[in-house]
Amino acid sequence: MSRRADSSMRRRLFFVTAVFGVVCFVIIAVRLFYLQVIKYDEYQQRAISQQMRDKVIEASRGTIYDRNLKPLAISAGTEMVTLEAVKIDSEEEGLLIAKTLSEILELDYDSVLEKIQAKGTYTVVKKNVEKGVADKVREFVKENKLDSIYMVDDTTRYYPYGSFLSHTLGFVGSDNQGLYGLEAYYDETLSGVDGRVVKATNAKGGEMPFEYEMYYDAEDGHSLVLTIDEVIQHYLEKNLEMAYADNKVAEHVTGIIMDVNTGAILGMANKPDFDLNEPFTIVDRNKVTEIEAIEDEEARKKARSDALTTQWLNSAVTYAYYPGSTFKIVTASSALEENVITVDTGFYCPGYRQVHDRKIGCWKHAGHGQQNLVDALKNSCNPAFMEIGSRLGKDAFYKYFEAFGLKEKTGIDLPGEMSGNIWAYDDMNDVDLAVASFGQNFEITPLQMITAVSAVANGGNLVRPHLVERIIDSDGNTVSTTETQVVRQVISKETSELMCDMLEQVVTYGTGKNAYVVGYRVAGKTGTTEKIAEQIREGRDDLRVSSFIAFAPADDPQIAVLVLLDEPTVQPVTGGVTVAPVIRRIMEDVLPYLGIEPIYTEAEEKKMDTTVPNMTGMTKAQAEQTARSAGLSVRVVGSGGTVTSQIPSYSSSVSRSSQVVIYMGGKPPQNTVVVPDLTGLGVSAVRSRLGQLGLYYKSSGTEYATGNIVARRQDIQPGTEVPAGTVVSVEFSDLNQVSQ
Amino acid sequence: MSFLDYINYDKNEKRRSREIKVSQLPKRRSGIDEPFLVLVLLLLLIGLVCLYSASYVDGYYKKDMSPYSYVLKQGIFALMGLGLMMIVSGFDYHKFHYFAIPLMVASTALLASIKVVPSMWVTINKATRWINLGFTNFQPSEITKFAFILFFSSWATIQGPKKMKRFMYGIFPFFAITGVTALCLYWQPHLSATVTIAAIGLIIIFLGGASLFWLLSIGGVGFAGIVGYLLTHKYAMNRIKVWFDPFSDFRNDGWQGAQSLLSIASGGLGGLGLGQGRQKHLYLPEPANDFIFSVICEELGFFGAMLILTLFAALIIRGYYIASKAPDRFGTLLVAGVTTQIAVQTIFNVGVVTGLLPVTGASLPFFSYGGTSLMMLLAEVGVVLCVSRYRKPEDELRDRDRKGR
Repeated sequence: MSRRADSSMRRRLFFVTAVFGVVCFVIIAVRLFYLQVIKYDEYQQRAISQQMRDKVIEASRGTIYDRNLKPLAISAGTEMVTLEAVKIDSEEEGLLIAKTLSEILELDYDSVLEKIQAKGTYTVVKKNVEKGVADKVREFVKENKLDSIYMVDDTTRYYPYGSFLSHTLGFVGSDNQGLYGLEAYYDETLSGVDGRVVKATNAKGGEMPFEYEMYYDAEDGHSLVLTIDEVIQHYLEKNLEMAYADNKVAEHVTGIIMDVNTGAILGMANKPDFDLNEPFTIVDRNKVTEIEAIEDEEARKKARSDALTTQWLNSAVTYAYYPGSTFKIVTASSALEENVITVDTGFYCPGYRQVHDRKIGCWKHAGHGQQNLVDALKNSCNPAFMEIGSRLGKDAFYKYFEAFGLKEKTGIDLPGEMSGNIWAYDDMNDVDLAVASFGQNFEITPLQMITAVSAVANGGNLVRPHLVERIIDSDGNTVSTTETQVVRQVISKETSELMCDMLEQVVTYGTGKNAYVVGYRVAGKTGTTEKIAEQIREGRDDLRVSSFIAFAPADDPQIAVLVLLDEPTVQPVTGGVTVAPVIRRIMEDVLPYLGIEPIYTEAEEKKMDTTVPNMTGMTKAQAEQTARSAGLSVRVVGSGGTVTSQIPSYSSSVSRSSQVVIYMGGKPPQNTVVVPDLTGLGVSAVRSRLGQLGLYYKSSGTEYATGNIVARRQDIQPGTEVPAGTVVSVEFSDLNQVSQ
Repeated sequence: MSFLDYINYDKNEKRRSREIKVSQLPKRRSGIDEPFLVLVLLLLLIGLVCLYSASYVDGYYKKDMSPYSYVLKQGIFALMGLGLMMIVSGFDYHKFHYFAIPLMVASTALLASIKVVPSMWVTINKATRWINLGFTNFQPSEITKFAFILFFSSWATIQGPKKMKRFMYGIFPFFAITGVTALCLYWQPHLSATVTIAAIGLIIIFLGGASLFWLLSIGGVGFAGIVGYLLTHKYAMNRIKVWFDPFSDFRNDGWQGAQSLLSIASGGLGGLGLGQGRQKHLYLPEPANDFIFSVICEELGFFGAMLILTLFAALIIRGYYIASKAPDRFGTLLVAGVTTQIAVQTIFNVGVVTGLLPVTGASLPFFSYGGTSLMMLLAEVGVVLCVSRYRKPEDELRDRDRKGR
């Protein structure tokens, strides 16, 4: 028997050779041809696209400056820590990473661990990590030779002044996209264009040693220079804050300061406000408690988001109210312009006016009797204005309402602006016209109101309000400048001048008395309205919006100021008592800052506070002479040759005709006194109370006007112990100004 | 009884050896088969160059390796393997009969030790395939491959074509032994080795004269079983789906297959140039091992890949040619077994990376990184060369063939 391969074996061997040596290789060759030649383009594209990685180079977001180039919103370079959890080799390594990262980045350990265990390929661990902290992470990565943690360049928006100008500036989201306010309105301008680098990378995103790189430059965003003046805004916010607290305002306060000639907004604020660096934190603690108490998760979420929306609301432009008596400025201007009345037209007020079957009352039930136009404004008399409204007629009223821009948005550069809400022309009847004449039953925004009044003040031009003065590029070159935009001339220069004069009288002698600023000519008008819809809904009758609109100087108007208190709760709540002093304080701060020189009348000069001169070292006669020339009287204690000490001390500001005590030898007694509560006391009572205690006072407000003048505020709180001779600042208001 | 025959092999063999010596041994010893040796050396050299290109990136990225780590280690094993090859080729292959049973028993015992002394074994990527020798890890399944070649060649020789036709001699021992081995490999697990080993055994008994009827019917039943399994198991179906379209599950199960296809296609006709491949930069899994051919395709293109495949095909055809010219059945089957091992591993590996076969880890002979497998392979090449020395000159064989008919 043959041991050699028999023919059957060789046949089979041939078969195996054919299959393994030829057929299989032919199949493979065909397959390779298919992949490398036919599918080449498609697969090569795919391979290239997975090897090429785009790295975004974030454009730096522009800065927002105030008009004096003080930065209000800036972008700082930070880093983002990201995790490629699939690359974590072992469980221990994962635990170490969770522990270390949560410590360095101040994160919750469990949430970091969760991200690690999710085994993702790209997870953001923390954004906005500062350089120093990022360096610590880098060190940890290096020490442990980790390949799962990467740092990505990032930028963070930072607001150096926190809540300052919050509603107007707005804020950005986590990707630096503008979400609110100017940040949102000018998002495109500010954000610039991101650049990118395209380069070949290995599967872990590291660089591959084959050379391919393309670079597209980032275009940095432009910066905004606002019309807002940081100092003026500060004064506005300080005073609004005070008004919000003093009057225990239930809803909010809003204030706008505008350049009447250009429409530039110098200040715009609402209280309460929020910290721009933490916009998603609800500020109102009661609200937080209230929300946390909600059981249902959906409802809680909704309540939270509602609360935030309310918190962010810029009431200056996205809130409408009944303007009330401040609107009489518009009614009077329109009527004068239409020549349906003159300054000498007489109006009789019996305390009401009959309109068809309706008897509409004046706030003063006894009536104002016979008045001319100035009196009607000073008295804020409703029947007189109903008469003016009816003389004007529905057509003209509607025409001027539109001409003053109250039916349209002002066009300010802020998102979400509202426009006024008034009856459709055809629906407006005589009663509507009558109440509209004194600003009731239709809504406008505070910004519309101040824009309309600015037109009255500036010679008749309705200007478009704006917040951005110019846009500059990253090198500081001006890209564009906002020009003053006159929408239309609404009233003549003559009418405007008449109105300025009359409105100044409202402040000097009328319901706006409490806004009077010594040395300045302030014009303005009070307004108080009932929140009728809310009152009906809540079954109350005490919900008010008190407001005051003013401009100065009356002979050459520069700025207009509107302050509005939504639901003040400290009685009385009229614009004349509640808001006018706020206007006065703002004017006192802002007018000197703007470089407008005070001009005092003779009477004012006599009554002005005086600065205590230095008398130490003088003889008695010299001291008496010096004090007298400063308008002060002197009481002498001791019998030495020269003045050794004086109370109050040198350079204190005190009320004129105060008495200075000089010590001739020996020291003044070092006793302390408790500051009394002065609120509600009249001027002379305040003077004697303080005098008895050995305290001095200096006054502000309407001390020298006639009327029901009482102390409303004092700068040193009652109960405070102070050294004798300390000067207490007391602010007076005329409580009679309770008109609507 | 043939099993007893087998156990009494020594006695029988002495008798047979005598027969062989008398009637079958070639008159003179010719030299080793040079074309086969040249092909092996060419593939080995190209393999090392490609391994360097494919592995330096991996070595570079790993913490405790250098770009040269892989290729240096492989080079040392190649030299050792070549030495072993020369030694083996000098033996009289008939003596290998004696090792058939001991080697089979030893390799099976080695595989079974995974259940007895698991501490000896090393697990990498969830597969326990290596025994730690201290200086290196070695794969017992590489020994098993040769054990199969040797055992079934010897068995088929001893039983002769007539007995092999019968189920109990041709088919049954194959299934029994393959079953045990498959079980051991299942513990590792190591599917590709199981398939390779089964294929080697199957081809040898097929060549040895096993009944076609049985082979086909069992093959048919097996095929039906596999299809049935796939249709009833969702997981398996998913694997098949991913096999047909790896991009359908690109990020997970399809990743390896898809990356391999992208690499191969990126090479186009001419390739990116040796060393210029991009996919090996951590996109391709195991660029130095299972997917080394994808790197070759990307860097050397269609032409380069075809050149290497042609060398492989030539080697395989030459191998079977040597087998067909061997002086006796044992020689034929030994060479055919070794050649089949090279063929199956090559086709399996290239089939996987080109997406023709579902993804399982299979190495490419002479190319893939792996010391023990390279050494074993070269030793087996030594067996082929050894047999080739006993070949009769062409004309003599042709004459005898004519006489045979």
